[in-house]
Amino acid sequence: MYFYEKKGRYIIDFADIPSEPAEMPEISVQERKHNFKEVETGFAGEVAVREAKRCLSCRRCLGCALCWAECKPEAINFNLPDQDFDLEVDKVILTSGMQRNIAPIAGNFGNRHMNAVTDLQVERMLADTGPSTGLIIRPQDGEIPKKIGFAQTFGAVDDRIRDAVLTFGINEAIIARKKINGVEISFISPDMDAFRASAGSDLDKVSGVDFINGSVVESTEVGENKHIQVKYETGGSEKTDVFELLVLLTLPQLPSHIAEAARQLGIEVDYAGFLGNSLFKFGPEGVKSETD
Amino acid sequence: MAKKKVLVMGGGAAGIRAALEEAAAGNKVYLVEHFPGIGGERIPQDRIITDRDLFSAPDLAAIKKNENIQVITNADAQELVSENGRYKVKVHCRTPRVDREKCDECGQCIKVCPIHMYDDYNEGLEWRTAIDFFNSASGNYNIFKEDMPVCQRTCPMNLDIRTYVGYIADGKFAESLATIRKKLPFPLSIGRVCPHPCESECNRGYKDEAISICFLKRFVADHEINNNIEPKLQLPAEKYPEKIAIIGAGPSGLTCAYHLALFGYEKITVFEALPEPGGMFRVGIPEYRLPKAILAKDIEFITRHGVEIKTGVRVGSGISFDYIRKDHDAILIAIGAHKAMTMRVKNEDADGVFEGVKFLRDVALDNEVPNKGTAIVVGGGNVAMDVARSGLRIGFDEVNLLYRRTRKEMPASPWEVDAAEHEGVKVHFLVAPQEVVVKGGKAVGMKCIKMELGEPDAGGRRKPVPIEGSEFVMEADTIFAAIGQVTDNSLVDEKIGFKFGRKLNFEVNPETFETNVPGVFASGDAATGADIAIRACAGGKRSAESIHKYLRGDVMS
Amino acid sequence: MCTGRMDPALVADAFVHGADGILVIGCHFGDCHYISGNIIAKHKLDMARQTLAYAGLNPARLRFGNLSSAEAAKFAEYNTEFVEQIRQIGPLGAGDEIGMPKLGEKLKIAHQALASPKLRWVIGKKPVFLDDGNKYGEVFTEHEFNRTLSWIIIDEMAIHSILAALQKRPAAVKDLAEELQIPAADTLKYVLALKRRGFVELNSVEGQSPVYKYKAEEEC
Ligand SMILES: Cc1cc2nc3c(=O)[nH]c(=O)nc-3n(C[C@H](O)[C@H](O)[C@H](O)COP(=O)(O)OP(=O)(O)OC[C@H]3O[C@@H](n4cnc5c(N)ncnc54)[C@H](O)[C@@H]3O)c2cc1C
Repeated sequence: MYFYEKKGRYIIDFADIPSEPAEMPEISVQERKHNFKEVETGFAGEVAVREAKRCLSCRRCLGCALCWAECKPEAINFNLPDQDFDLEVDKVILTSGMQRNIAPIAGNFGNRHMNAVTDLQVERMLADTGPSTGLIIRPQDGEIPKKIGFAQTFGAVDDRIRDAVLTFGINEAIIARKKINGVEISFISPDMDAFRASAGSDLDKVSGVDFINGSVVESTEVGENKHIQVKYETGGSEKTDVFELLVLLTLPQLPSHIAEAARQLGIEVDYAGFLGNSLFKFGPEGVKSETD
Repeated sequence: MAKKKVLVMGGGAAGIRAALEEAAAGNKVYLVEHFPGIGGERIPQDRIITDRDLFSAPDLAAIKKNENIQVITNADAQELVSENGRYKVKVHCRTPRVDREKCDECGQCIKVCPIHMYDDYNEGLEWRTAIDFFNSASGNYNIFKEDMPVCQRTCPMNLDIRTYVGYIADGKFAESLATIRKKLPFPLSIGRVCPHPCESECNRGYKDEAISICFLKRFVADHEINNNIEPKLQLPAEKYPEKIAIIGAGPSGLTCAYHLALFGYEKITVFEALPEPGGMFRVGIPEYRLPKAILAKDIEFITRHGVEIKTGVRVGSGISFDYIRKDHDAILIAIGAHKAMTMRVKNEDADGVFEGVKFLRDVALDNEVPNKGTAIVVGGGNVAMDVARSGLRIGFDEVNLLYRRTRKEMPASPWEVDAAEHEGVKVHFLVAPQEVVVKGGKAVGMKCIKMELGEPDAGGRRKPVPIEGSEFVMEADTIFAAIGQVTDNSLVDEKIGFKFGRKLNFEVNPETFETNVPGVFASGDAATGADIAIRACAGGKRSAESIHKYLRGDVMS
Repeated sequence: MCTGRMDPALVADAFVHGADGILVIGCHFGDCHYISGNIIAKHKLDMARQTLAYAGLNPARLRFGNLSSAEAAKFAEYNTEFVEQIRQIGPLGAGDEIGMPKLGEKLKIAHQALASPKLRWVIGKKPVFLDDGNKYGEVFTEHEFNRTLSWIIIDEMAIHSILAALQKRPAAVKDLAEELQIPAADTLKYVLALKRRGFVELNSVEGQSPVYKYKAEEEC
């Protein structure tokens, strides 16, 4: 199990890191006719060394032990082993936990834009103990956006998941409205009408958010400030709008370790299952799911 | 009522609530969380909020105070089994490397740590240090140490890429090659043919392009032969007497033999049905991608470690499996997957229809092969590309390749498809074969139908569906089927009781590669179904370790 | 004194105080009385040179050489040649990537970075990392070590310039970025990381800009 996920990470520029990747030399198509000569001819020495120098030598903890040297209570122990223990229990309760992936729509939608963030990132921003002290900020320059778009990044899903994701996003929009004076918020989802039908009056009470039943077709970064221009389709016509920050609504998934545990206990579960029931209990009486 | 024991998996809001409830009911609770910290405030997703309940934060203080709740972070429950109404669980807890009893959370360590890294908890909004608290609310300090870098983790063989690439950057080619050979005895071959899953994960790809890891491996290996450097052999002083038989001299069998030799086994015999060793390296992958002379160098390196290869011996016909079993202390079955799957179209057995893998094998062994006129290749994988590209080389005037889906779904590596097209192979997408057209007992063409992509299925893959009335006939003198291979497991008698999988492959324990028959192991394509070579090598190495363990007792744990 | 004892910050300090060139001469490799003092000296000077070059100094202004005490003539030759080279480059600020007084400012930052514990500690580990390995027994290639060190140098330079700027006055990320010529997105991450570590705190919000300030009493 790894929790070190591959996610966007920063890569520095340093003059001595070559940037151009090396090309493998090949014999021409003409030379390949009617023979089985090796097509790729291999790197020359200097090319190989240059290519190898492009390697970033990724590593997290260096193992330099500076922290250990500085730790007054001597709490750091590099040799502290992993621990395995056997438990015997009468009851197992599974809760969902969460993991969210971005499903990119249209070519360049979403996570490659500097000022596009996920709903989970916004949740962290809004938390007072979070990295931005409760402020919503643009990752590109740390400024507070005055115009925010929320957009759904996935297509048809289980209604329970759809409702959970939209509710989560709408709640973020509500908090953003409270926190940022005069902010303009648009909320674009192809399931907006369907959601409104199920959410009813609670949604009508939300003010200051422009709910749009539509789907994003394309998004592009514009200008030096890297605002995001979003093209979306609504009611049969195409519209464009420019946002200072775009929040991508992502699809929650069951972390693999939970799904695996459930499988070992003999049931198949998905994230939606947890939404209705919030947790699964396995006791001597068999499986029982509990409603929140 | 007696106190019950409860395992709660997941330290989020729901898990914490459940733990508190169970503890309040007088039960002993183990709260197991995958991440290093529990809790965290959340925005509700089950109701639209009003002014007051913006965030819901779980009651961490109550958890800390409660003596009936044991919190186990950085941990996963493995092997959950229910037995007589109770549950047995193995919990594996990854070390935090910080003694939580002693840590006073002063934060001095994070002030001096020189490393900035991605902050999972805050979704990458800021950087954290390598030693750090995970979640400021639970404040569990922790050293974030990855087992290995992403490239190495992605490599089925876990080659130490960071180190061998680093050595190349330092100009230390011999050290680099030695690093590779600690695990992989086929650097010349793998360095040419590996589809390099490692490169797709390379972090450099976020900036511009991934490092050419595969070609760098080829470079250091080529450097040795181009400069006539004697490879260094590292044979252990301690020797073992057991006799081990390996059936199949492909990448998997030979890698296993190599590692057994490194452990000190001296009586290793590899039985190979074909006249030449190397498996699909020798008779599958065409020479223009992997020259025979190059492959021979890798194999020579292996045999110099004291591995004997007996070619031309087909186990199951020349010599029986039972005989080998009696005569050896352990056996590895690494016979690959050489039986072509059928297209399941009418007239498939007509004259002029060939198995793609057989064609490649005949080309590689200089046997006679069809080579005149027009050929059709059916399939979209790498084997199909090899058949098509070899077809043009061997003399066909035209090669048409048929694939049912689009380029995007093609299982072949994109660079292989590009090269094939570049060389003149005509690739026809969204075309499915229906029936071999036969004239005078001989195939003269293929009746095909055009396809379109329909709705995505459960796995998100869009299934091709035929377009009615779009049938047409494509002429051909020769037709090759290259739609997959299965294992020919007829060498073992049913009576022995091996279990087989969907691809007629030997079922094995995925960790140890042991079959259900004691002392018999299986790896490579014969165990996994047709796969890639590096995974076959990885399986060979793992089975060598298992065989060693099997013969020596639990020496490695 | 053994060159191995030489503090890399000392070199930076000399440039801060106006030196136009520095020549450090240690014993021949293999002849060290303390076994590896001169090798350590070379590592330290390489690091100092890289840091100073990152600050904008012409790296040719800092040179390391090996001589024994019996090579008086060669010593004189070395000196003359080095002095000639520096003369050709010109005084500080001429022949460097940036001119004075900006270079002077940046050299001060480089001095702080070199004087802080991180770089000194990590460079001290180089021989160990390459031969025996780190705390986990992982042996580094030279490339890997240098790459890691480059990252730390860049991080340290950024951190110390941000702290120096915030010590003068509180600022918003985009103003810091502009002043220090670090991309705003990176500046933001550095500022947040400094906040997490307790060196910086939120001062106020002005219009659309959160403004951060230096948090006193803590030493980097
Ligand atoms: C055309 C083609 C192209 C490929 N291209 C690539 C590529 O580019 N990159 C990549 O990574 N992978 C590629 N592969 C896959 C790769 O070659 C295989 O995954 C790999 O060779 C499997 O190794 P193995 O040792 O399990 O089996 P094999 O390589 O198939 O070796 C099995 C050996 O066992 C022998 N054998 C079988 N039965 C018996 C018996 N009864 N007695 C004795 N000996 C027996 C066979 O003759 C053979 O020599 C390709 C495969 C094919 C067919």
